[in-house]
Amino acid sequence: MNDEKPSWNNESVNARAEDTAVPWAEVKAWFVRDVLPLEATLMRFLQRNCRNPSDVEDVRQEVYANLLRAAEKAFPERTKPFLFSTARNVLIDRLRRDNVIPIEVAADLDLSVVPSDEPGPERSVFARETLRRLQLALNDLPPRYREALILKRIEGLSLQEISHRMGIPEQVVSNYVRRGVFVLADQLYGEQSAVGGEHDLT
Amino acid sequence: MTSPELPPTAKPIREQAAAWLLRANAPEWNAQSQQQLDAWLAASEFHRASYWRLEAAWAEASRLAALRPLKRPGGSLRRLLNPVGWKVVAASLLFAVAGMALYQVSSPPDVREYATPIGGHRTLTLPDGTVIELNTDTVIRITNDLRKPKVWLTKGEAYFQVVHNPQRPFIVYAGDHKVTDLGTKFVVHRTEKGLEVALFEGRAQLDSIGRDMPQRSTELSPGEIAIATRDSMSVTKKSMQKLANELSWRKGLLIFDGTTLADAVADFNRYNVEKIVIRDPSIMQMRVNGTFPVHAKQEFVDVAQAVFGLRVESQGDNTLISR
Repeated sequence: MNDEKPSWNNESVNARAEDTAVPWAEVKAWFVRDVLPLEATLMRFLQRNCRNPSDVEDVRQEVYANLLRAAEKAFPERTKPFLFSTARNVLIDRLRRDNVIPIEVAADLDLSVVPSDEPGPERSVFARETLRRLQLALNDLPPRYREALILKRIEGLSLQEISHRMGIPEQVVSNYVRRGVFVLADQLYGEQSAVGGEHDLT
Repeated sequence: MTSPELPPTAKPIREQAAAWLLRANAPEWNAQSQQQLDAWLAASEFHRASYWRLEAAWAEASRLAALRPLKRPGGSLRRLLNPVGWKVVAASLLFAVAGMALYQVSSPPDVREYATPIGGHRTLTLPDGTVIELNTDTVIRITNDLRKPKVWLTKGEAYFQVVHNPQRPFIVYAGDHKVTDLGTKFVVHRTEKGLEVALFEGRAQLDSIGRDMPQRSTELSPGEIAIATRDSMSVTKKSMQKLANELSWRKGLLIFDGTTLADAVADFNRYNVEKIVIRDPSIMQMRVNGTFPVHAKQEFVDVAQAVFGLRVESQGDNTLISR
């Protein structure tokens, strides 16, 4: 299965390493290793502090983007405080942008207390938990989504093969698999159950 | 850091990132598609954040292979979720000593066989620079066809440092499994129960290929050890320090760190013709620390005697230990 799968990703990331002060490959490794395991804590923080709960994913994405932009210039010394001060800045920027409340009030919000010292998952704990979370994610998926995801990721079948096997159009398979990946990522990093329409599961 | 325009919303980018991820895992993926993906990633840190996150989750999902039940493809997937006995038998990738002759056994036309005796250790360098180190009591066969480099690990353990060439992946066959190098340093060890593959650098893919057994596949990342038998495949992660200890055989050393006496003795026995025999099961779980040359069996026994107050007797070439 996938015998011929080439290792393009690392090569190409390295190839453009000189474009930035910190090579992408390093930033990416740091992001995956140090930042993503903090996502569950970050999400709790954002859920407490977002005016509109449906904005949480947008805010998280903005936090990550700002974090990457900064890390590509220079790595922060400590990831967790840096992540949460970035999150706090994003939240304040959003309040300011929406013009809802004056900045002085924003500064008094609960988000002045960032959970840098809250015990977060240690990386090793996170690694041990990975399998359990993957299981939870699979449990969350409707059976057809689960089947499509497993046939793709574990059995290594092409979308076309899965389409034949499951008797549904390729486009639907693709949709199942993509939604499956969202649920995997949310469960793995954000510890959220995605059931309930977040990813338009049917 | 105030930007004039509003930041993009997450959903459309997430959709694009997922579409890229699927494309990148399809057979049609090529260097040109990779360039297009790179351009998309370069366009925005929002793209990178979204794509790297999904890609990381996708990579982790390879662990699901570890949970795969015995089943026909397409059968019920429910049992996928049964957790598998997860603990890795401490890999005890031990080692051997320099200077023992490696002997060439037989040579069919284009396949050569190399072997080490108990306690042996030998390094081979292939014409393309790939290095293979054979541990104690090991037999491998290598094709000399450089366009399709293949190695069969008939028994024992070997360390591979592969000079990667995407045009011709380097494949190690071991019984019911094969390991495909994707730019890699790894150890493959055939044990009585099955196969252990430890990855130190790069990536490698482990596939089950035996007849009449379920097909399994997993991709390994650095620090991961896969254990494969006919019935199961599991992956576990170790610290690089612990993993490095497992390579101590390349320096002729056994490193014990909270190792049980039973495991430590099994390690020595791999490298020595004269065996140590534990006669008293109650001492098997005693914990041993320390570093020993592989052939320093006698020193090890002396230390065990002194530290644990054990009785030591000789019986022929073997050493019996008991309380």
